[in-house]
Order: sequence, then C-alpha cells, then structure tokens
Amino acid sequence: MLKTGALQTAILNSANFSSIATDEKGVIQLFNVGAERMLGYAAAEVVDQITPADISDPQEIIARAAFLSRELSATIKPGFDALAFKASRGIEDIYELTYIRKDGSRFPAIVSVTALRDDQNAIIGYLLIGTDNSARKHVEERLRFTEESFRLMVESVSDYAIVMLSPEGNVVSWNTGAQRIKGFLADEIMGQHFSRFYPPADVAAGKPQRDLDVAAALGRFENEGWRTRKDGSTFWANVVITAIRDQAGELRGFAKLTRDLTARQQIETEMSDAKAAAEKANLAKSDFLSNMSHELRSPLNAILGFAQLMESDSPPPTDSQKESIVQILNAGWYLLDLINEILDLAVIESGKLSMSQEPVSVAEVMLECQAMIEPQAQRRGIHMTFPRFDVPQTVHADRTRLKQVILNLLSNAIKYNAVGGTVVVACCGDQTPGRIRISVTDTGAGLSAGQLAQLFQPFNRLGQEGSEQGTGIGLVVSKRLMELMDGVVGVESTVGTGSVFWIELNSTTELPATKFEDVESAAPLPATPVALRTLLYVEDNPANLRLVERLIARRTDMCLLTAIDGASGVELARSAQPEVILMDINLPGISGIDALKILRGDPATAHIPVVALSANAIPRDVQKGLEAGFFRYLTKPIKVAEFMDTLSAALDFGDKQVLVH
Amino acid sequence: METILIVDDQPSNLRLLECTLRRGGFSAITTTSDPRTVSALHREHHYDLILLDLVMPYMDGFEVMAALAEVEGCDELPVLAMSADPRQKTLAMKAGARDFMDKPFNVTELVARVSILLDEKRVA
Repeated sequence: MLKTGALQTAILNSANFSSIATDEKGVIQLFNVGAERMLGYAAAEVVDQITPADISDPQEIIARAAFLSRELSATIKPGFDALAFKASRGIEDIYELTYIRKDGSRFPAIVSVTALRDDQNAIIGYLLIGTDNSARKHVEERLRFTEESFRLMVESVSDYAIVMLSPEGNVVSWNTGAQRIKGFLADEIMGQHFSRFYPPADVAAGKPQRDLDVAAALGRFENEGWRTRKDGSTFWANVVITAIRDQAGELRGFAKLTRDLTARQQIETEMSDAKAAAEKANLAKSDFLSNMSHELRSPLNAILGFAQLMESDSPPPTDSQKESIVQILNAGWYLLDLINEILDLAVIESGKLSMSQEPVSVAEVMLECQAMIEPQAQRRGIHMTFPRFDVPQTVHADRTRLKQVILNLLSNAIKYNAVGGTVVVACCGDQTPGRIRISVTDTGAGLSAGQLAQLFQPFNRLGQEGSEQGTGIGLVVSKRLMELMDGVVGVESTVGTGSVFWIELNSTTELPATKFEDVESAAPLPATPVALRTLLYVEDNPANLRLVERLIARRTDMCLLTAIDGASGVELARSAQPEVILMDINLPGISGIDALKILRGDPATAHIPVVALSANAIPRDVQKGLEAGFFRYLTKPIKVAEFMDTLSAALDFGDKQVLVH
Repeated sequence: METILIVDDQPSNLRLLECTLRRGGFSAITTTSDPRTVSALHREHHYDLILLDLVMPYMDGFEVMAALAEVEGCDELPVLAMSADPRQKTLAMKAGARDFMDKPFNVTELVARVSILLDEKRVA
C-alpha cells in the first residue's frame, strides 16, 4: 500500500508529464508539477475552477466532437465530453491536440485519457496524462520539407532521366530529364513497364527483366547500351538501376538513372577513327622509309662492291683510275651513312625503337668511345682530353644508344674543330641533383644565335655543306635518343671560341651489371669504314675462344683468326700477317712466352704487337710477361672495356711500327 | 676444297659475290638466282657454306632457310645471310643463319667472314 502510494506520488510529481485528474464532470481536481510547468498555471488557479477542455484549442474540440459523433453515432457536445467520451465507454484513448498555456501560447501535445472508477465500477473522474509533442512535430516538418526538396530537385533535373519503378518494373515517377531524353510526358508513361525503353531485340531476349534481377540480387546494375525513345529513335545510354528496400529488407522498387551518351560515343568513335588513321599513316611512312632504304641499298651494293674489286684488281688500276675509284667509294659510303641515318630517324619517330635501359657505368662507356674515336682525332691532329673517374658514375640509360650519342658529339667536335684544335670531355654530377652531365668542349668556329636555333633540325647543316661530310641528322637522332632516355642535349657556344655540347641523364645508385649479354650490344659499328684488321688469337680453351669471337664480331674494323696451340699460332702469324696477336700463356706444347720469343726472332712477325691473356694474375707473373716483351698483359676474366681499349692501343702501336719499317 | 653456293636473285650481285670470293682464294663456287632450287641443290651437294640473300621473289631467304633446316635435320644452317635491310639481322640469326652481312658490304670483311665460317666448320 505504501509502495503503491509512493509510485503514484512519483508519477504524479514527474515534471515531464502533465497529469491532470478531474471529477466525473471534468472539473480539475489534481494538477501536478508537470502540468504546472507545461501550461503555466498554478494548481490553485485551476483546481475546482475549469475543465481540461478550457485549456485546449476550442476549434479542435469542436472538430473532435463532430468527428466522434459521426464515428460512434452519438451526440457529443463540444466540451469536456469530446475529450473523455471514448474513455467513459472503456475505450483506451490517445489523441493529439493543441494545449493553450496561461500566457496564450500554444503547443502540440499527445494526451492519454483514462476513466477513474470506484469499487462499484462507477466513474468518479478522469486522468489525462499529456506530453509535449513540439520536438516530434518539428522533426516531422523538417522531414516533409526535405522530402519535398528532393522531389522538386529530382523533377527538375533535365540532364538525367530519374525514374522510379515498382518492384515489377512499372514506372511510378518521371522527371524532366526522363521526359527530355525519352520523349514521353509523365502522363503517357506512368504505370507502364520500363521495357518500353529497350530496343525490341533486347526485349525479345528478356534483357529488361534480367537487368532488374541483377539489380535486385546485387543491389545495383550498371550498363551501357542502346535504348529507344518514344519516336522509336535510339540513343547510347548509361543506365544505373538501384534496388530500393525498406528497413525489413523488402523490395520496394527501383531507382533508374539514365544518361544519354550519344554525343560522347560519337566523339569517342571519331577520335579512335582519327587515331587509327594517324597510326596507319605513320606505319605507312615508316614502311615507306624502310622499303626505300632497302631499294636504295641494293644498287649501292653493286656500286660499292665492284668499285672495291676494281681498287684491288690485277693488273692494278692506273693512278688516275685509282683516284676516280676512291671518289666513287667515298661518295658511296657517304650515301650509305645517309640512308642508315634516315632509317634510324624513321624508326625513332615511328616509336618502334626498343630501348633497354639499365645502370650504365659512364667510365666504361667513355673508355669504349675513346678507343673508337681517337684514331679519327689523330688523323685530324686534334688533341683529346678525357675525364678521370675517381668516383664511379652510373647513369640510367640504354648502353648502345648512349654510346651512339656520345660518339656523335665527339665526332662533331673533331670534324668542326680548328686545325690542331682540342676537344675536352668532362663528366660531372653536381650541376643538377640526381643528374649526371657529360660535356664536350671544342675549339671550333662556334655557332651564332641564328645557327643555334636551327641546330636540331633534320638535314640542316648550318652552312657546313661542302666543307665536311655529314647528313645533318646526327644531332636530331641524338636529341630524340636522349629524350627517350629521360635525358636532354644542350649547347652553349661563343663565335670564334668554340662550342660546348652536353648531355644530361638521370644518375642511379644501382650498380651496372657486367653481364655476358652486354658484349652483344656493346660497340656499335663505327660510321666510317676503315680497312679490316686481323686479330690472331692463340688459345686452347673453347669458351674463351667463343667470347673473344663474339667481342670481335662487334667490331666491323676487325676480323678474327684463331689457333689452338703455340706452333700453329706462330705458323698462322707468318702466313696471315695479323695486325695484333692475342696469346694465352698456358698453351699445350710450346708456352705462350716461348711462342712470343719465336715471333720476336722472326723478321716477318717481329713488328706485330702481342698481347698476353692469362689467368695468372699474380703481379710477378705480369711483370715477367711484360719483361718477355708482351705489348700488354691482360688477366682473365676479360673486362670488355679494357680489352677493347688494349686492342685499339695495340692497333695504333702497330700502325706506327709499320711506318718505321 | 670447301664448296660454296651463292643465292641472289640479282645477277649483278651474284657476279660481285662470286668475283669477291674467287679473288679471296675460293674456287668451288656455284651460283643460283632461283631460290626455289636451293634446298634440292644442297640435298645433292651438301655445300660447306651458302651465301643467302634474304629478299627474293617467289621464295624469300627465310623460306629457303626453313627448307634447308629440313635437309640438315637441325636448326644450325651453314648459311651466311645477306640483306640490304639491317633490321633483318636478328631475324636471320634466329632462323638459324650462322652469320649476317649488311649490303652493301666491305669486300675484305666478306672474305674474312667466309674464311672464319669455313674454318669453324672444319674444326667442328
């Protein structure tokens, strides 16, 4: 009893609910703290004074009385009866109404009405418990506003067709965009099945239903394809269908978004057509150039071939004939250079040039270039200075192509230099971080600003026509090659002083690989043909023979003879008169050192430089070899750059020996 | 005496190659301008070396090499391929040629290469 009393007290004293109790006529008997707070009256002002109807919106009371009278077929007077009638009949009643505060302000409330009865079940009064419904009302209004905004927005979008479909696929909403894109007015299409938008073939194939099934299964379906308009015309569409489900996961319908991509599709088609045409034209150009190159080379083969035969004919040609033959040969080889360079440029420009970029040691490449270019410099009396590499410099490049570029710059610096001039090659890594610059400085005539501007144009020889042989393509090819290797070519020049041509490449910290395959790609052929020199290699190890063979195969200026022991080596040296001999030390039969002694003792072979190649790398062995009279002493395994360098040096040495003889 | 067959559709080239090799000391030389006869000739004579032009009508050098591979029963062919298109070098080596010469060529170099190829064959 006490507990029940306490509970009642707690409910009645709750500040958040208004609890109003009346007598059977509706006159207020109890007005709790929550009611005082919500309505602004003190309990004393209302108890025994008024009924709850007096603090409710009178219009609502009238409307409610009329409504209940109709519903229950009874006469209910506007007043407290309208509030309590249902409760008096034992029906639980909860309704929304508007309460009016003492100060006249109003607020929405939800009120529950219960009849209070005595022990004989006679009604002795009513209890009205109410809550302030303002917050909920506010949310509902916001929601309605948002929904309305979205509806208006969707309706007014004209670039996209936004259509709502029922779960069966019938149109239930239709926006401006749908009308514009598909041509139907809302009235014409509402309720119809969305398969009307598909071409007949798709409908026959059951595509519309499949699309819906996918959207229903995966939540979303997207597709590009042809759709039809009201007038039967078709358009290329992007369609997204999204399944809409309620909180219970029940399918409520689909939202279908359609974009007309016809214009985009047209542009794409046109662009890909144009691209294909350009590619075809480029291919045709490159085919034409390579065919032309072949067609030009074939007759040139006969010209150069027979001219060479005439040059060494027996009986020998007269001096005047010889002069003519030399002119034919010079012009012929020059024409061949020209054809080769045009082909090279065509291949680069067609984008078909394959590059194999890797870490490359600048020092190694420089050594190889030096060996190849020094004879040309010596013939012209040009003094060349190459950099020392105390710290290894490594660039990211295609080894063969990098050499081609450096050789082109070196060859230009020699060709367009002053008589007795100098060429200084430098390499530095501190101008631009992450880049390595190789510069070639000459003491030529220098270039004017006008000439500099035309420098990288194909076939433009800046007025050098006639004085020097050249095609005017070399620098263009170099520039393109450098660009393909993420590098640049640059030039600074002062008229009367000379020019500095430089290249810059990305440096790398990776170590250059000295792979066997490098031998294959190393050493491109020198552009100017020189008389073929012979290297005799005396070696009994087939693997070493094979390697040297491959190295020599890369040099068009040399051919290789081989012997597998000292005795046959000496014999071949006498008969073939090679320019250089490469000698293994540990040979079967007579040793390399004994073979050397025989060669030195024979006037027919004494002048030929002999290079030792041995696995004995002990300094004492090297010393012994050099004392025995070897030109150089190389140790195995063969280092390609050192090997090539030594061969060039031995050839130069041999040339001088021949002059002395 | 090593035997050599020269195959080129152009008579001027045939003459040039033959003159060059004769002057280089080779004498057992046969020539043909019809690539279709090459495999039959080789089947009968087993040449030590075949100088083969790659660009020819009726049957190009690659087809000739395929026919020769059948005769030889292996892919290593006694062929020195020649072409005025330097880009064919890699293809020719892949097709089984022992060596490749650009056209136009240096006559001394051609003689040297032919000597080396014949030497290699003798050693092998």
